[in-house]
Formats: sequence, structure tokens, C-alpha cells
Amino acid sequence: MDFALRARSLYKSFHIYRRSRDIVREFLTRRVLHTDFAALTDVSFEIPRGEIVGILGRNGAGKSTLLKLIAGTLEPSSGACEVRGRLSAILELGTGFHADYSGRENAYLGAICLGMSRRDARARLDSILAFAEIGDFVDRPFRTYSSGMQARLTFATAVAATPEVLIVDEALSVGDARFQLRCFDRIREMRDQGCTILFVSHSMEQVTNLCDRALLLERGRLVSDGDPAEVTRAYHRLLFGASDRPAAAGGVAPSAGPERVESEGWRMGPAVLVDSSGTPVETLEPRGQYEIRFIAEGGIDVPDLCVALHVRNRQGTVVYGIDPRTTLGAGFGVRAGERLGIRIRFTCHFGGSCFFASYGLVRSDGTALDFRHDALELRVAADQRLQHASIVDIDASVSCERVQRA
Amino acid sequence: MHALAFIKILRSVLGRHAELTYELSRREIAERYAGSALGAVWAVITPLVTMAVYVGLFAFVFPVRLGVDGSPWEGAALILAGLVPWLAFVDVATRAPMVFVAQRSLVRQVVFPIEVLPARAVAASLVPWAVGTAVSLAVALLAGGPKATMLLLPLLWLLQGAAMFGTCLLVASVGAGMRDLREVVAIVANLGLYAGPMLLLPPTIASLPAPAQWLIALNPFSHMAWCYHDAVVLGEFAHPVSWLAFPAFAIAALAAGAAVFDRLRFAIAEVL
Repeated sequence: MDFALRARSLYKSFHIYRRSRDIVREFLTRRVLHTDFAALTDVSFEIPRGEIVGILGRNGAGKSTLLKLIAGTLEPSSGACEVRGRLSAILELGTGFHADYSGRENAYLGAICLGMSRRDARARLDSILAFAEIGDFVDRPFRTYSSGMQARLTFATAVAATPEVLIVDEALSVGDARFQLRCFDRIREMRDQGCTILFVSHSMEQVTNLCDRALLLERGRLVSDGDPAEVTRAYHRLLFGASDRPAAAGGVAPSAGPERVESEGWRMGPAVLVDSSGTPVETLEPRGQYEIRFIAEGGIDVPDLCVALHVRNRQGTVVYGIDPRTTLGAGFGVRAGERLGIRIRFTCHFGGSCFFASYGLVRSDGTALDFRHDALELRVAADQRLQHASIVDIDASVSCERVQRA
Repeated sequence: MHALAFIKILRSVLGRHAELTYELSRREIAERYAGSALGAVWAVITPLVTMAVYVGLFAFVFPVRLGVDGSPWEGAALILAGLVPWLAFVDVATRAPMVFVAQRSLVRQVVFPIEVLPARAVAASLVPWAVGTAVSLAVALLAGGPKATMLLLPLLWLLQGAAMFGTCLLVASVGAGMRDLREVVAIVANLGLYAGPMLLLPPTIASLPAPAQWLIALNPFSHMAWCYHDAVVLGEFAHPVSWLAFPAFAIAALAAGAAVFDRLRFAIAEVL
């Protein structure tokens, strides 16, 4: 089988010493003075040539340790890791770069470090600097660079050596959006040429958009491996507790999300997402009609009940929000103990991808009676008409006609 | 297999990564004196002044005549011949503990062949060493004229380079985890100067009690100095034992340093 990278039962533990002199004492007395910390336990996978693999995991899950084992800066305590082909890696921002050297010198030395000859390095230097777009800073010391510039130069140098395996540890999250796009284009291009790319990201968006496959680490174990959409869902579950499958499986939202505001005895039931025929759905079709339905029970008399709804994308940007005062009209009064069936109808004008709806009941002055943040996941099916970065669908149509010259 | 680790490391430093070693060494030499107004001139001035002091001391203040009709320069020539290589060694050894520590980011970086760093540290001491050697040769020529044994100098330099590289590998690897090593090296370097023929001339050594003489004979650096004495000043194999002991020491230092480095290679990245 033609793999580029294979890990077999990787195990890595670190010795933790309380004091540095314990290292010497242990060495001399042969008495164990350290405690073991297992950073990775039994991690196995195989990655074929030409795949982009995203690694997800919470802080401290073992992502960086895994990358370092693959890169060969750390040695596994047991198990084995095999890499086939020339490897290039961006582990920490600007590592391997000398703070006092200019960007030009650093790129040159970096390229030699990666195994280029001095002649090749000199020949590629201009294209590296052009890709990094650091402009007039090329001849200034590296330490004067912004973190974005450092990221750009690091990336540009690392990919210049046309690696067969490329490892990227979060370094890309520093660059601005434009540079990230160019990096991702470059990464796809490299993948198409047979390069295998492994990168750590905290952005589920990036992983679903870019990766052919994803790995999820949790406490040093590989807990999920496969389709990026599946793995990001599992990651989301890890991050936000059980609220992973809100809209799935009948569209039942978790009864109590972590971000819940409740007051005055008002109580909302779980929300259900249904289509125009009333059937629960998991995925929204572009421009389809849907309803969010939930039941609420009044705690106290309220003379001015309003419904609140807003929708955020993965980055937390509010892409839609309704003014609650316009929802039920002025002075919608409710008595304590009354049961209400609330339906929020909407048309799916979202771009493909994933959104989170927050909804609840408020008074006209905005005070919340019961409100749930990000409690309902809206997964929107990809639409051929839209670019993947779209977050809204304004349903643009284009026409063109030939006009006579005046 | 560890005993042969030095072959692997030499092939990396002088073979596969020769261009990297070269580029880094060039920059290190330029950098040692960067920021000072006279720049690389200090690389020449500093050893010249040191040499001048020793020459003055041993040629005029405490002149030592080796033979009956020896010139006063002879003592100075002898001192310089042994002292110059010792100072070069100390120069490398005192910088060695910080070799990996100071380049933490490089060491933790992925594909960087870190064995290049000790090689670069050795290369950086070449300039003052070369200046010292030139002075030493000049004084030796002044004192006793050219000697056929001077042709053996390249061999001695090669052996010493190997010993310095091995020592640097060893001290740098261990020093990455044990910062105390810096002080230890400083003390050894200080005491070592007086525990051998680097500062002690033959009449002085002959007058020492037997245990002290033994100590000097066991100091590997004594043999290094005696080899240089023979080659540069005496023009004969006055210390045949040293000509066996010094090469043995040099190869052992290289092999031991490389073996320890090879063992600790991964631990270095972990402790930094």
C-alpha cells in the first residue's frame, strides 16, 4: 500500500521532574524520581499520498506532540512512526529563524536547512519573498516583523522546498484572511501534486472546507478518524458538551444548553426544526421554507411578550437577527400558567455550511424570560451556485444583453 | 553502534549538511564581533594582545633559557606553542554549554540537523586560533628557525579539531539539561591552565613533587601541548608518549562526544 505516513501504536510519555536536580539524582542513584505524563496513547493511522488531513483536538489533547513525533523532533516512547518522502514542517512560528537576521537571510538559511543547496536556495529566494509579500521588510531584522509577516515568511519558506509531506501546526491561523486563502490554495495545489499535508486547526470551517480527512485527539487518544464533517461534529460535541446533535435525529434541541438564561419561571421546551410539511429535518436545503417550533409555559403574567432569534456562523458573526418587538406585535399579553406553541418561519438564505440559532422569549424592553444561546444547529446543504466561502444567499441572478453603440 | 556514531555525525556535518555548516559558521564568525565599531578586527586584536602579554612575560620578565645557548625567545616560543591550542580549546569549551540552549528555537524545529551547531561553535573559534598560531609560529621562527617537524602541524590541527568538536558535542548535549555545566567548565578551564605544560615550563615541572608530575602526565591537554612543543619549537620527538596519547585522546573525545550526543539527541529537544 502506498502510504506517505504511518503511525503504529504511538505512545509518548514525558518524565516530569519536580526539581531539575532530580534528573541528576535519578541518573546517579537509579531511583525513580519522576512521574510520567502520557501525552499520546496508542495512536495508529495511515495516510496515503496526496491527502489533506486536519487534526482537531482541545488544548493539551496531544496534537503538537503528535506532529513533533511525525516530524522527528521527538522520539516515541513506544510504537513507530514512518514518513516516506521529504518532510517540511511549520511547528512554531518563525522557528529556525534568527531574530536578528533579515527576512532575506532567514529565508535563504531556512531553505538550506530544508535540504536545498546554496544555489537552489539563491535561485528560489525571490519567489519565496514574493509569496510571503513582506515588501520593504525583506532586509529588516526578523524580530521587527508582525506575527502575520512571520507566519507568511515561515510558510513561504517551508513550502518552497517542494516537500512530499508538509506539517503545519496552527501557524496559519496568524496570517490575515487573504494570506490564509492563498495558503489554502497553495496547499490544495500541493495536494494535487501528490504532497500529503497534515495540519492542526481549531477552525472546524477550515477543516471541513480543506481536508479530505480529519483526526480528532482527546487526552492523547485518537477518538475519531474519518470524514471531516463527522469528525468536526464529534469535536463540537467535545467542546460544547452534548449539544452536538441539536438539529439531528428528529431535530430535538438539548433540553438545557450550557448557555441558558431563564427567569421568572418561564420555561421553553426543546426546539424542533421542521420543513414546510411539518417533518423534522437535519439539513436545510437552500431557499427552502422551514420552521423552528417550541412550546413555552408562562411563569408570570407578561403584557408584552416578544420572540427573539439570531443566527451566528462558526466564527461567531451574527448573520441574522430580528428585532423582537416586531415579532408578535405590540402588547401580546400572556397569563401565568398559559401554554404557548411558538413557530418561527424562515426561508433558508444561508450560504452552505453551518450556523447556530439562538432563540428565546423576551419582553419588549429586551429582558429575557427564557433564552438559549447557540442551541440549534442549522446545517445547510452545499449549493452549486455559491462559492464555499459564502455565508448568505442573496439569490443573485445575472443577465446580459447586447447593447447598440449610440 | 554508539561508538561509531561519530562517523554518522561527521558525514552529516561535513557531507550532507556541509553547505549549512558553512553558511552558519560564516555568519557566526561575522556575528561574534557584529555591532562593535571595529567588527572582525577584534578577532585579530584580542588574541594578539593576549599573545603579546605572554611573550613579554616569558621573554623578558621571567626569561627561561632551555639550552645553554638558547635565546630568550625560546621560553616564550614554548609557552605560546602549548598555550595557543589550549586557549582555542577553552574558547570552544566555555561556549559549548550554551550551544543548544542559546539556539532553542532551532533545536526544537523539525528538520534542523542540530549537530551543525557544535560544528559552528568550533568554526567560530578558528579565527582567534589562527591568529594565535601565526604569532606562535612567528616567535618560534625567531627563537630557533624553521623545523622539519612543523610539517606535522596540519595533523595536530586536525586531531585538535576533532577533539574540540567531540568535547563541544558532549558538553553541549549534557549542558542542555544541566545548566550547572557552565560553571564546571569555567572552573576546569581555569585550573587546567596550571595543570600542564601550558604555563609550566620544563624546569618548573621537573621541580614539582611526584604527585603533581603524575597529575600533569594524566592531563590529556598536557600531551596536546607537548606535541605542539615538539612540532613547533623543539623540532624532535622529545615526548614520544604524547604522540600516542594525544591522537588517542582526540579520537576518544570525538567518539565519546558523538555517542553521548546521539543518545541524548531527542532528550535535548525535550528539555529545552
